Amino acid sequence: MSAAKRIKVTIDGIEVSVPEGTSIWDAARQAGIDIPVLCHSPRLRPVGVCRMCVVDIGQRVMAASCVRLCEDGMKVDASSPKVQKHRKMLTQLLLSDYPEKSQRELKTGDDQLLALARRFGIERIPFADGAATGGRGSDSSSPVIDVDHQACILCDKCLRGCNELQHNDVITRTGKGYTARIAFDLNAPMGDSTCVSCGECMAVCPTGALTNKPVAPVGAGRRGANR
Amino acid sequence: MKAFRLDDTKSASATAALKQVDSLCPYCGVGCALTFSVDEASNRIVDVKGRDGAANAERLCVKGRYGFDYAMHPQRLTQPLIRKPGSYPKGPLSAISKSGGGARKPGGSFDYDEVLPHFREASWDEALDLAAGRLKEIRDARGGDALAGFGSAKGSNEEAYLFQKLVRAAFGTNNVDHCTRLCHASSVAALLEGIGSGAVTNVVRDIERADVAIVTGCNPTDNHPVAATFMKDAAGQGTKLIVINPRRPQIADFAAMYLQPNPGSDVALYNGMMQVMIAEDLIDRDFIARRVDGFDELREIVSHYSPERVAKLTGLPAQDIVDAARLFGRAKAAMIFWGMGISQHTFGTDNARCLIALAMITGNVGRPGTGLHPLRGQNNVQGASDAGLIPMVYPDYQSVKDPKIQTKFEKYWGVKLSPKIGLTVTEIMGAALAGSVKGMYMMGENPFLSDPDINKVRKALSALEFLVVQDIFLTETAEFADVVLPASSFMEKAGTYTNTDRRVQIGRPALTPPGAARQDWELICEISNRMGYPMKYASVEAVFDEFAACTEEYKTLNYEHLGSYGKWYPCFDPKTSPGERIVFGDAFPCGKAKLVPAQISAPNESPDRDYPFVLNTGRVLSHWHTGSMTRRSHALDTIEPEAFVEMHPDDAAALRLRDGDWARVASRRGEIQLRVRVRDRVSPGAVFIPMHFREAAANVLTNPAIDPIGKIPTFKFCAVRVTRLES
Amino acid sequence: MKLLMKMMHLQEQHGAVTDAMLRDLSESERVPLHRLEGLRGFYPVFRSEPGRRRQVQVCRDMTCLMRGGPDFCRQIRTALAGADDVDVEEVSCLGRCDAAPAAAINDVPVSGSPTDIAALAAAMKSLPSNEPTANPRRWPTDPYENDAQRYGVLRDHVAGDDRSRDAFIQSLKDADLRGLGGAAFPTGMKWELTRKARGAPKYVVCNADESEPGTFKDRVLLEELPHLLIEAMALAGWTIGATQGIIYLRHEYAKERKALQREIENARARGALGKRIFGSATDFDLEIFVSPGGYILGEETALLEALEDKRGEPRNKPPFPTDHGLWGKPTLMNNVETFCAIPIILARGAKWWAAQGRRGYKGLKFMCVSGDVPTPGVYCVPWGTSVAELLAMCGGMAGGKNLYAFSPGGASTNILPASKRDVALDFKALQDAGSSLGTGAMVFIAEGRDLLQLAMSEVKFFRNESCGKCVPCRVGSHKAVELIESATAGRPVPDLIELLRELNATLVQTSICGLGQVALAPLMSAISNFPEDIRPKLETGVKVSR
Repeated sequence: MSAAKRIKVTIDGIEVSVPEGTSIWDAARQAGIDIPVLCHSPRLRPVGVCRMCVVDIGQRVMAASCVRLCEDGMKVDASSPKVQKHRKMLTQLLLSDYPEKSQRELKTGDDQLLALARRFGIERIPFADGAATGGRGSDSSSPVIDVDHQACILCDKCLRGCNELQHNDVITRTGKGYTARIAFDLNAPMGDSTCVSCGECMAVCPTGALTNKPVAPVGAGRRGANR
Repeated sequence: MKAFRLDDTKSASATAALKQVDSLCPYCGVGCALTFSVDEASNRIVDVKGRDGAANAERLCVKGRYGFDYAMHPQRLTQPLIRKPGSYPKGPLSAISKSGGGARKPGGSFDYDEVLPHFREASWDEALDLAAGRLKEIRDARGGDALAGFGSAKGSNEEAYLFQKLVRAAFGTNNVDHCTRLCHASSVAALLEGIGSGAVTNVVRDIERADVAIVTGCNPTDNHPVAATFMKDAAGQGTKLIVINPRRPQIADFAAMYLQPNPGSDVALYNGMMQVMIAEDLIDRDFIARRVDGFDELREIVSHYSPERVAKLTGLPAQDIVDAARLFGRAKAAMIFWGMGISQHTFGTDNARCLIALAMITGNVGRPGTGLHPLRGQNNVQGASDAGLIPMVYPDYQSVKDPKIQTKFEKYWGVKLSPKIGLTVTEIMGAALAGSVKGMYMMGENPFLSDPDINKVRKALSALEFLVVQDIFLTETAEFADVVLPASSFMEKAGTYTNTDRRVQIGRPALTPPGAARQDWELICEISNRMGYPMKYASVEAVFDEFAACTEEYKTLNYEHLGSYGKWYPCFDPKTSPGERIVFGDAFPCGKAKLVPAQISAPNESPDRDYPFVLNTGRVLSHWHTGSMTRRSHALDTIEPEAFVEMHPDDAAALRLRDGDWARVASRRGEIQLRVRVRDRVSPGAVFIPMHFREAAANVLTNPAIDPIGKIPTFKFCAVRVTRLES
Repeated sequence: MKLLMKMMHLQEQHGAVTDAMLRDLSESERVPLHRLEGLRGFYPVFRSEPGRRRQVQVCRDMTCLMRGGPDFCRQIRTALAGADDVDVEEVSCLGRCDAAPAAAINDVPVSGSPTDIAALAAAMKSLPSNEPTANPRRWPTDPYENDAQRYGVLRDHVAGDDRSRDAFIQSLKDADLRGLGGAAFPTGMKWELTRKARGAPKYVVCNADESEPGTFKDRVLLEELPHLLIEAMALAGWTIGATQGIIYLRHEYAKERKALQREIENARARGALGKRIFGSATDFDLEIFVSPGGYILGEETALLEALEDKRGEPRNKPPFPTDHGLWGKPTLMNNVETFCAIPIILARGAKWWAAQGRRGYKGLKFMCVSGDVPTPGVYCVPWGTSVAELLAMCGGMAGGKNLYAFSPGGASTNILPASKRDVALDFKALQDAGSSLGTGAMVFIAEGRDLLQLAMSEVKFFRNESCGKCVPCRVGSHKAVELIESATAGRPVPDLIELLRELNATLVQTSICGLGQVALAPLMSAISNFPEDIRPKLETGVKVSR
């Protein structure tokens, strides 16, 4: 296989040389620049839906760096106040619908949306509380995973994890617009679906939407304990 | 405006105090790398994350991710147990299934309350002295061959090495074996015969470089789930899968071709494919000339397997056989994966011989995207075999009959050794019944459920004069023990494990053993010392070094080189190389490959008027083998709590059986009662029962007839009858 | 297309696509259940359970809000109280703004008072026939005087060689024809790019999914000039090397579909479609794909996703459809009006086309006019006609009222004040004036109208039609509506206008597609261009009508 042609891009003033076909996000990582993401992971096909990774490439609108490919001579601004402002606004939008307690933060301390809130120093959310009125519901029918739809940011990672990594083909988005949500099979409770409990969806989820149930205390007293 | 306080977002989550331990999954041969989150204070594992291991790339399945809690189950053995004098003569202490017709509640792992009262707790000294003492008595009175040991394919390489050393050096016999006998023994026999090595030639993920891959006699989605995800990746990228299985596996949904041959007709199918390939010159003549012996004889034999004849024998359309042959034959790089559907027959060795021939005549070995890959089931069945837990060979497959080898190991171990080939798992049961094997030491094996014809196994176990069982739970086998030694689970020990890819990885302890339970490797040393053969090691790492040094494949490795991610063997330069993904690019260990043609043969017990169905046995995704681990895992037990028999809709209708009804399934060996699942993935005339459920154990029904060379039982084929159970 | 067509067939036959049906479909088509749920849950035509005998759909968007008032739907419901076999729902623009307030009963367009519509819905007798007009009008962009002459341009060119194709593309460039679906991309360049693009097979797609409030010009063209569309698509096939064309048609245009289907069959019968067109070496044929619904399907990549049996969610661009379109192959996609302009440009030349314009602008434009005018409808006018001149053609403002504001190009364009009435109808001219020609959907708004309410109806339209894929549009459009509603209920957040500006900037800069980019534009333009009217309502929380 012949090597791809190499091109040069400049990101925040740092010049990097990358093979043609490299995304701006990957090139930035090579340059030591960490562009924040929620819907992207190097393990998954990039989809550019959270828009957190937008960068300024001097065009009419910003580009999502996880899906946008480098072009020779491109100049990328990944960290200016202008770019940061949009990332902050996106974070505030998502936080406005976020439940008060994140299952992920409570159980494993690695909620990525809250991490971004801290990274951007967000002090206020100027939007109405979308989590206050009833909420989008939860689903604890699975033997291993707790689903909190209110914490779901529709990042599509669970879909890609389930359908493209594990090929179990269970998860979809259903509905449309603001009321879109994830669903299992024909919108069945997770525990009633063809889910095989591989846990990939939980593993890739960045928020408290999909978390592990606590390890159940195993059958104490069931069929006699060995003392 | 929504109320929001930045400071509140960082919760003092429980995770702060957790220790992260990089280790492995204990279950299947894929050998996924993972990380345990451990709460040391309460000695509990809280969480599992996938690690970027070479075999799994952070992926896990339900067992690896959620099936760890068995180690923390209250039924863990914590004290040595000695059988009470009043519980002799030995017999089964629990019912296999409670009799009396009507619907039965699902059983679950058996009732400790039925079994425990027959044992008393003892100190370690008393238990070990008794165990070693009685085994020594039997050895001294009747000779080493009156003893036998079953090692574990779940244990580490170090444990396996020490165990076979104990049996050979301390017991003085080669009667040592493990469950590979029940799994890939025929595949390994065929491979050793054909190319001189039983290990895979290409790693699983090499399928991404294959144009075509045969996936036969296996159900990877259920039994090697993470490996199956990579097969599906490859299928999505253009690799054409040819899936062959009398019971349709889920991976057939990703196949370019799915063939559903009659059970037991594999030799005909592959001979038929080879006949087409030879006739249409889809073979690699250059490769055959340079690297293969026996082609002419093979060509002559397969010439009698025309597509029309094979169609009759297999029940497949002749055109499908031709198409499959062409698809495989035209591929630039083609790979063959197989599993129990090939090996667990009285002609399992023949089946594997066919697959080897298929690869050899098309030159599909030794290059990327080619090769032979018998999917190894247990997490360390490869390692256990490599470490010599086999009656015919020492570590690294060195023959016990070879005087030069015998001398080498006598020097290495400082003791005289037996030149007599030992008995296999299946033969040992027979010998116990016959009275020639009197004492046994079993570590991490449960032949009660895993051997065929378990009523016979129970009789054999009862007949033993002395049985030591070393395990983490009281198993059905332990019912027959005289001494039970509480051992360490996978999560409580350090050791190396070799997966199906020939990758040696280190598993590390995340928990401390409960109660007085001890490390398996130390217990083996204790027994050995008390039997008069000294064993003393500073650490488990020292055991690895001793084992590695007497092999070709492991000798370049040590714990430092293995690090967190392991290495494939052979690894010629462990400092710079990850090991060899692909082997035999230039030559086979035996020089040229030897083709051994096979002829179709009849199964040992075919369906007839009294027993009209073919019984196929196997596994399900959420359980592991005899269920001692998985039925004690909350998630896994919840997902699949009970046994079932899968039947085709036409057969079910004829018997007036609907999904969920109770049925009685009987063979010449015994009978069980269980619920029916009506599924069209089995073919008409065949039924499937998973092996995991003691209260409806598939192996009550199975036939102990074995393959003459591999000595593996025919788990995949025997005759049964099914009747409706009136409630 | 296959899955969606099967699902739409089931929906039509049974009034629903139930779980049981989807399980069967999953097995027969070998697709996982979740894919079918994804489609059923996304597209408005699908229901999980059958509805009642009569389905009344009432438009809630700009012109219908103006003409019917905010209570129109409620009044229909009131009039139907007691009728237990009728469902009533509010829907987005039906494309019948010239008959506002618009409604449909079981997809048949109806108009009248709320009681009229209720009576029709509740009655057992059959609904009015929904047949295309028997007397289509003559339009200035039709080079043919009678049926016998049709497809003449195709006949003259389809055997042509590459130099012919070069010349043809040059004509399009000289005519300065631009995409008339709203994007205004130079048509000649698009045809050239697709012709040069590598990959096979190539496709020609007509975006006949006009759904933006105020827009109904393509509807008229489909009903009355389908032969021009068909001919232009065949010419496109010949030019770029495609043999397959698809017309993506919104399902609300059932009458127009009939006209189109009949003309396709007519064209086939005459050898203008099919194998060896007019005896040449060119093969080309067309099929109609009926959209399962939703405004976003008018976005070119969302449309392609639907054709690929996926949820209609726009793709990230680049790559563009000219390189990487349907099934990843080069795809030429144009709007109905754009295609319909092409035969006459080829027949009479770019110079003739240019001469049809005024004030130096080139060509003829179909404007759809609605709002506070006595004669709403489609008008074919020279490019460069001023807004005021167009208004005069419609009989001026209704009821003698004064013009207050106008939205020149559909809901996605900025609302301009009456003071800009002399601007020419042209892309650049309107851009310079601070708006856009967009889809050519002109809505005239009289003094006395609640401009904030009208602007918010457009913002709500975008919120309702957001596909939900990306954060800024999905959440931002919803939060913007909430902000305005709380303000008009007397509880504005501090610095609301500044917040809206920032929110708008994020939607503009970070949304994946045009919908998100323009979702707040009507509101922002109302704030900028009508400060004395709008600002007080947002800043002091003056209560205003819903």
